Amino acid sequence: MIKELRVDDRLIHGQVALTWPGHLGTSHIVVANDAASKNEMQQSALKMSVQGTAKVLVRDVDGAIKLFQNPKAKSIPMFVVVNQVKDAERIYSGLNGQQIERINIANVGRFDGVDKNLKTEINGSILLTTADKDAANKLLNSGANVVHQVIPTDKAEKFSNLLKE
Amino acid sequence: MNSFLIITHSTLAEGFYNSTKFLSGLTTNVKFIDAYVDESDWTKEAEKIISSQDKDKQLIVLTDIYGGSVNQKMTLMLAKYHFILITGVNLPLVLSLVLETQPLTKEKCENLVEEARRQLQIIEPIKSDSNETDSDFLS
Repeated sequence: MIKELRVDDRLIHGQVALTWPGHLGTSHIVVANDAASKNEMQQSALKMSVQGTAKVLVRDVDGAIKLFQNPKAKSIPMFVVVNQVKDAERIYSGLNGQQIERINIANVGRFDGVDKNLKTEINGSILLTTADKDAANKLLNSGANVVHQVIPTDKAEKFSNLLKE
Repeated sequence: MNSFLIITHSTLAEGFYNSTKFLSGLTTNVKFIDAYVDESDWTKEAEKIISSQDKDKQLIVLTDIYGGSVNQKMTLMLAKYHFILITGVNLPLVLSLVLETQPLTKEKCENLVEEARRQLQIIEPIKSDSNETDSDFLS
């Protein structure tokens, strides 16, 4: 069961590792990222952020979907991190919208090298490419629970309200 | 529950505050003093904060350098007021302190100091275990 599917352009980092697993009561973190799944160095660096406090598995997006479909995965509360909205959407539709309690679009589009003028700036930490914006709309239209909440002490904002503005 | 006062030579204390806020959002009980940034006597401000401390809350004072004047002055204040003084502050320590939901005792602080001390280390390149299976993870 996915307690939270987080979109964060830094994947697992200090903010994520320190506060979210405890807040969500999960000790299983899955990084679903095509590039990181092929890069051992990046995997090692990602795992440093949790230092034995949680189990971390890095998979490409398809591999992650396969993992979530494992019957055992359904009873384990998991925290899943992707770095773009379209990957979140791939997971959501790959699982037919099942098993995902919440999608949190926290930080996105700041470090992808895409020209800022080609993106929609939702707020200081969310810059959406056309592909990501389409994916966000697709998620909202399928009835997914999509929010924006960077750290647990922040208020969770409905993403639909942010997109409207 | 617990409250904190970070005091350093110049603006590092403010930096600890800002980074803690950025990472955890938990700074309602954190105060800081950037000592010696101007001519004023920072010890007066420190004493004011310490003497007006809510008795129900444990106050932890964090300073930067063991032998520095900031820590010397706070050590003297330990004779007069009840608080826990920790020096050699680093960011992992501040974070583990503010994330603690239980009242902090000296013993608990000793454990957190030990953990934070272990964060100071030389990093070697590591090899990741790429053969990890789904069942390993789900077991």
